Amino acid sequence: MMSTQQSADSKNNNLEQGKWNELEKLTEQMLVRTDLEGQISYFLKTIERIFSCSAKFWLSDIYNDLIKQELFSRFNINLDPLSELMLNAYQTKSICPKQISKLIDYPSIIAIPLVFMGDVLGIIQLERYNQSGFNNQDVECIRVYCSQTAIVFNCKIQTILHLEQQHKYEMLLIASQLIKPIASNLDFDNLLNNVITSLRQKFELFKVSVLIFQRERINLLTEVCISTSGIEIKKHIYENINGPLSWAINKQESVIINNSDLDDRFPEYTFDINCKSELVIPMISGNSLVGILDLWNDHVDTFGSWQVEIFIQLSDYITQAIKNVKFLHDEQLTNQITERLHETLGRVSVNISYDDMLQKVLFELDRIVPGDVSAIWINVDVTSDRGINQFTSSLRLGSIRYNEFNFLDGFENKTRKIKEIQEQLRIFEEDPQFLLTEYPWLSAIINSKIPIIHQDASPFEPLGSLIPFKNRYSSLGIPLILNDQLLGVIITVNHIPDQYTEDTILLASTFEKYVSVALENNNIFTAANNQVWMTTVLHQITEATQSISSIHEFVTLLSSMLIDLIGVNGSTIYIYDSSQSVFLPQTSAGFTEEQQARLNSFDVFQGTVIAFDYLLDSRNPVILNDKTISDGITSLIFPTYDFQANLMILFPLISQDNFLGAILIDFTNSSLNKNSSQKQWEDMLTLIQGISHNAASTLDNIIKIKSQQEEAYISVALLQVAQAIVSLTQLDEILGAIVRITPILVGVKRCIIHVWDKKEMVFQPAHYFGFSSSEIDLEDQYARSPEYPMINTIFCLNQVVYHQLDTNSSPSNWKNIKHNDIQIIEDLSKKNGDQFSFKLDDHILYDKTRLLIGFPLSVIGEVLGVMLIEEEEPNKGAQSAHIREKRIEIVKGITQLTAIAIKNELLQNEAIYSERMEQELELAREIQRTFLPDHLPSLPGWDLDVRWQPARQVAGDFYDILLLDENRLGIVIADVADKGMPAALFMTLIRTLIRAAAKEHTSPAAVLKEVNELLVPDIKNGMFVTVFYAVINMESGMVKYANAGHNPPVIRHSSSQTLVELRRTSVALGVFDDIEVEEGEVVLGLGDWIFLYTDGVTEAFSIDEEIFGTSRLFELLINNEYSSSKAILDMIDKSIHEFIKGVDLSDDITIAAIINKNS
Amino acid sequence: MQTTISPINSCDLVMIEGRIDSYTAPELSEKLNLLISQERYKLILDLSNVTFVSSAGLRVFINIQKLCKKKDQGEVVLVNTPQRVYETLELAGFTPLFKFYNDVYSAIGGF
Repeated sequence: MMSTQQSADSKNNNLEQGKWNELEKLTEQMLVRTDLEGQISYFLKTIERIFSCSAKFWLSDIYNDLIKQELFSRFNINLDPLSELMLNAYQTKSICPKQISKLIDYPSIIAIPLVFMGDVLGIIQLERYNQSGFNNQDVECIRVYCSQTAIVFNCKIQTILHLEQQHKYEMLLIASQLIKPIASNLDFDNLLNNVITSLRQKFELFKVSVLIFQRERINLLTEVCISTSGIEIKKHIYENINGPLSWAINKQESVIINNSDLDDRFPEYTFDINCKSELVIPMISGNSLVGILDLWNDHVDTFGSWQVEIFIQLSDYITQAIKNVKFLHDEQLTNQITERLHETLGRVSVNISYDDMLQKVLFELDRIVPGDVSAIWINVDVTSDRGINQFTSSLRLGSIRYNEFNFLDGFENKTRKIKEIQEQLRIFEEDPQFLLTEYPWLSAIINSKIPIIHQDASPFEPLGSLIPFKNRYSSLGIPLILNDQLLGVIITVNHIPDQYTEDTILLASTFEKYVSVALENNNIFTAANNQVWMTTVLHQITEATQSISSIHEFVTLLSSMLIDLIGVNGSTIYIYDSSQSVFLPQTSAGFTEEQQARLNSFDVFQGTVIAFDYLLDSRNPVILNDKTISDGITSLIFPTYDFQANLMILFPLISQDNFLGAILIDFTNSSLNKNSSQKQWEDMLTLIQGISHNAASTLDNIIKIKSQQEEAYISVALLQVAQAIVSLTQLDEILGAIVRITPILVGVKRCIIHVWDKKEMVFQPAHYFGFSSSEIDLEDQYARSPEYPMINTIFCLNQVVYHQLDTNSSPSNWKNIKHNDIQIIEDLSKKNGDQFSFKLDDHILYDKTRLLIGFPLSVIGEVLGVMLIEEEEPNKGAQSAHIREKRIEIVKGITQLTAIAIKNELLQNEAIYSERMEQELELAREIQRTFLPDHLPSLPGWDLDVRWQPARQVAGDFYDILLLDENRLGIVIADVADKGMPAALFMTLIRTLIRAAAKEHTSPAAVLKEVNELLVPDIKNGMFVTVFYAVINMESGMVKYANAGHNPPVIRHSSSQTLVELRRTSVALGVFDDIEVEEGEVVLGLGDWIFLYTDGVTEAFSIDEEIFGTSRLFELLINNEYSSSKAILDMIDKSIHEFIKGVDLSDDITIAAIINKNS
Repeated sequence: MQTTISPINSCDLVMIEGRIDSYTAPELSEKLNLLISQERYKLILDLSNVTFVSSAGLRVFINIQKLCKKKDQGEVVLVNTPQRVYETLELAGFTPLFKFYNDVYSAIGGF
C-alpha cells in the first residue's frame, strides 16, 4: 500500500517535473518568435496543451492603446473580452480562482494577471471543466510561466513602439524631400507624372494614381496611374466608379483600408486582385473637389495613422500645385475665346474702358435708332444693407447721352439740365428697389425680354418724365439679356411722337444681342485679366517663398509681396502659439513705423480681441466691421478707425488642420472696399485664401524642419565652444572664437567678453562681436573706468543680470544704465537648491523688449570676467519665450566653459611647471565640485541622500538632481571614463547636455539617446560615459529610467527579501551612433528604496588586492534594515573604508539613496 | 601589468597579465598604438591572466578596436576572456564590439 502510494507520488512528481521542464523551454521558444501575434498564440496554445484546458486572453487597454488599434489589428489576434473573473484579477493583480462545483476540490476556472513592473499587461483565463480543476502545483506553475511571459511581451511591445518611432521619422524626412519639387512644378502632365512616380518610389507602393475631374464635364475623370506596368492614362465616367473611390468622392473623406479581405464596407469586386491595402484621399481645395489620390499596395497594413497623416499633407500640396497649374491652363483658354470675340465684335469691343464702351454703345444705338436722349442702366451686385460682403443686384445708371437738340426751348443751359437729370436718376440708386417702384416701366422692359415701345397708357419712364417733354414723345426700352441673365436696360427717347415702330424693335433686337455679347465679353475680359493677375500673384509668391527656410525671412517677404502684388494697404503676420493661446506678431509692412511698432509689440492673447477668437473658432476670414469684435487691434493702427472708410480682414493660416497663425490685412484705400461688387469680393478673398493656404503649408514645413533642428541646437552650441577650447591653445584665440561662435549659435546681436586682469586691476581689451571700431574703443575705455554699473553689478553679485533696452539704445549707452534698471535673473539653484535652471519672471519672458544680459565668468566663486550679450531686434526672428529661456541656458553653459578656459590660462601663467600639474588637478577637482549640487533639495515625503568622494587624481564621477516639475524628480549618476582636466570638462559638457535634453524630452530613454547622438561625433580616443538617469514621480512612486552601461542601481521593496537591479537598457554613451535606448519602469512603494553607485564602490581594492565587488555590496544591502537614506550611505561608506584600510582611493566613489516615505 | 607581443602569421598575439586600470592603461595603449603604427591591425588579445579591467582599460580596448576596424580586415579579438572581465564589458554594453574566442587557434582561424 505504502509503496503504491509512493510510486503514485513519484509519478505525480515526474509529471509535475515534466511540466516545469516544458514550461522552462517555452520561454525560450517564445523569445524565438519575432512577432507579437506568434508569441501570443504560441503562449495560449502551449498553456492549453500542457494543462489540458481552454485559454482566453485579454490585453490591457493601456498596452492596447500603446500599440494602437490599427497596429494591433495587423496581428490578427482574437482578443477576448474581459470577464468578471478577469476584471477581478486585473484589479487585485493576483490570481483569481473560481470553483464551479462543490464536488471538485480545486477551482475549474482561474484568471491570472500578466504583471510587469507593477503594470498589468493582460489577463489570461483558463478553464478546465471535465477534470478535477487546477491544483496548487498547476497554479504555481502557471503563475511562474505567466510572469515570464509578461516580461517577454513587454519586451516585444517596447520594440514595436521603438520601430514605429523610427519609421515615423523616416517618413517625415521623405515627405519633406517630396514637397519642394511638387510646389515648383508648373507643367500639368509633368507634375502628375512626377508626383505619382516619386510617391510610388519613395514610399514603395504597388500602385499610385491621381484622378482629376475634367472641367467641361464634371462627371468625367482622368486617371494617371503608375504601377508595375508603367504609367497609364485612363478616362472614367463618375457613375461607373464604385468602392472606396466613390466613397471618397461622395463623403469627401479619406478611406483607409489596411486589409481588403477583412473590410466589410466595400464588396470584394471593387478591389483589384493585387490590392491588399488602399488609401484614398479626396483632393479638396477650398470647397471644391479637384480629384482623388489613390494609393495601394499588394500587402496588408501599409497605412498606419502616421503614414496617413503624411500622405494627407502631401495630397494637400499636390492639390494646391494642381490647382495652380489648372488655373493657368483655364486662363489660357479663356484668353483665346476673348481674343476671337474681340475680332468679330469689331468696334464696340475694342480694348477700351468700360465707360467709354457704354458711351460707344449709346452712340451706335443712335445710328440705328435715332433719339434725343438715351441712357443705359447696368445690372450690378451691390453691397446690401445687411452688411459688408452681402449683396443684392440692382440697376445702376451706367451712361447717359444726348444729341445737340433744339427741343428743350426755354432751358437756358442744356448741359446743366442733363446733369440735373443724371443727379435725379442717381438719387434713386440709393435704394435699389426705388428705381423700379418709381418707374414701373423699367420693370415692364425687364419682363418683356425684348425691346418694347412706350405706349400712351404705359407707366412713367424716367427720361421723358424728367426732361420733361411738353407734348407726346416716343420712347423705346431695350432689355439687355444674355443667357437669361439681365445685364442692363437701355432707354432712348425722341421728342417726335410715334417715331418707333415694329421695324425699330427688330433693329433694336439685333443691336441688343450685339451689345449684350459685347458687354458680357467685356466682363469676361476683365475677369480673365483678373485671373491672369491672380495666377501670376500666386505663382510669384510660391516661387519666391519655396526656398526659404527661416520663418522670419518668409513672413517678411510675404507681407511685402502682399503690398506690392495685391496693392493692399498693409499687413501683419501672426504666428499662433497654442501653448500660450497667443497670436505673436512676426512682421508688419505697409504701415507707418509707429503703427508697425505698436502692432509688433502687441501679443494678442485669447480673449483680448474678439475677432481673433472668432478666427480661431471659425477658421474662416473675419471682417473687422464692428467695434466690439475688433477694438484693441484697429485702434492700434488707426486711433480713429472708421468702420465706413476703413476695411480690415483677418485671414487664418491653416495647414493640415493645424492652426498656425493669421494674416491681418488692411484694405483701406485699396481696390477692395465696401462698395466693391460681389465678384470683386470673391476674387480678392479667393486670391488671399489661396495665398494664405500656400503660405501656411510653407510655414508648416519651415516650422517642422526648425523644430528638428532646434533639438540638436543647444548641444551643438556647447560642443562647438568646447571644441574651440580644446583645439586652441592661446586664450586670446579661444575668447575670439567664443564671441564669434556665440552670436551664430544663439542669435544675438552683440556679444562681448571682458576679462579681469587681477594684477593690473583693470579689464583687458575686450573680445567682441557686433561692435564698430569706435564703439569698441569707447566700450574698452568705459570698462576701465570704475563707473560702469552693469559690469560692476555682475562682478560683485556673481549673478546673471539683465536690462531692458530702449528701442534706440546703442552700446555707448550701456555705461549709463542705472543700478535700478538692472535686474537679477532668479537663479533657482540659490532658492530651491535644485540647481536646474534660471528663471525669468513671466512678464520678462514674454516681453518683446530686447534684453542686454550679463553673465559672470566665474570658477569656484571667483569672478574672472563678464560676458554681455545683446538680443536681436524683436522683429528679426521669432522671439518666443521658449527661445529666450533656451538661449540663456546655452549662454550659461558657454560662460562656464569660458571661465574654465580663462582660469586654466591664469594657472599656466602663474605657476611654474611642477606646481602646474598639481594646480591643474586642483582646478579639475574644483570644477567637478562646483558642478555638483551644493545642497540637496528637500522633498516632501521622500528621503534623499548623496555622498561623493573624489580620488586624489580626479576621475569623472558626477551626479545631478533635477526638479523637473512639482511632482517629478530627475536623478543622474554618471561616470566619464577619463581623468584630470579632460574628465572635468567633459563632465561639465555632459551635465549640460543632459539638463538641456531633460527639458526637451520627458522620457529618460529619449534624453540619453539624444545626449549620445550629440556626443559621438566629438568624442575621441575611445572615451565613453556611463549614465543612469531616472525620473521619479514623487506622487505615484513610479520610476522611469534608462541605464546606459552604468552599474545597475539596486532596489529593495519593503515587502521583499530580494534586491532588484535596474540593469542596462543601452550601451554606454559616446561609442556607437544611433544606439537603441530602452526604458525601464519600476514603482517605489512606501518604504521601498533605491541605491545608486559608481564603479568606485565595487572596484575598490583592499591592501591584499582583493576587490570589494557586488556580492559584498549586496549582502550589506540585503542583510540590514535601513530607516533612512543616510543610514544606507553610512553603512556602505564605513564598510568600504574598513575594506580598503588606508589604501588611496583609485577612483571616485559616488553613492546615493532615496526612500519613499510618502504615506 | 605585463604584456608579451608575438606575431603569428599576419596577426599579433598580445598576452596581457595583471590589472588594466587607470595606472596601467596608458602603457597598454602606448604598446598597442605602436603596433598599429607598424601597420599591424589584426590583434589577438589573450586575457587569460588579466585580473581586472577598469573603465580606463575599456577605453583602450574600444579605441584600439576603432582604429583597427578602419583598416581592411583589421580587428581586435579577445581570447580566454575571464568571466569578471567579460562582465565588465557586458556592464557597459561593449560585448557586441568584440569577437570572443576560447583559444588562440580559433582566433587566428577567425581572421
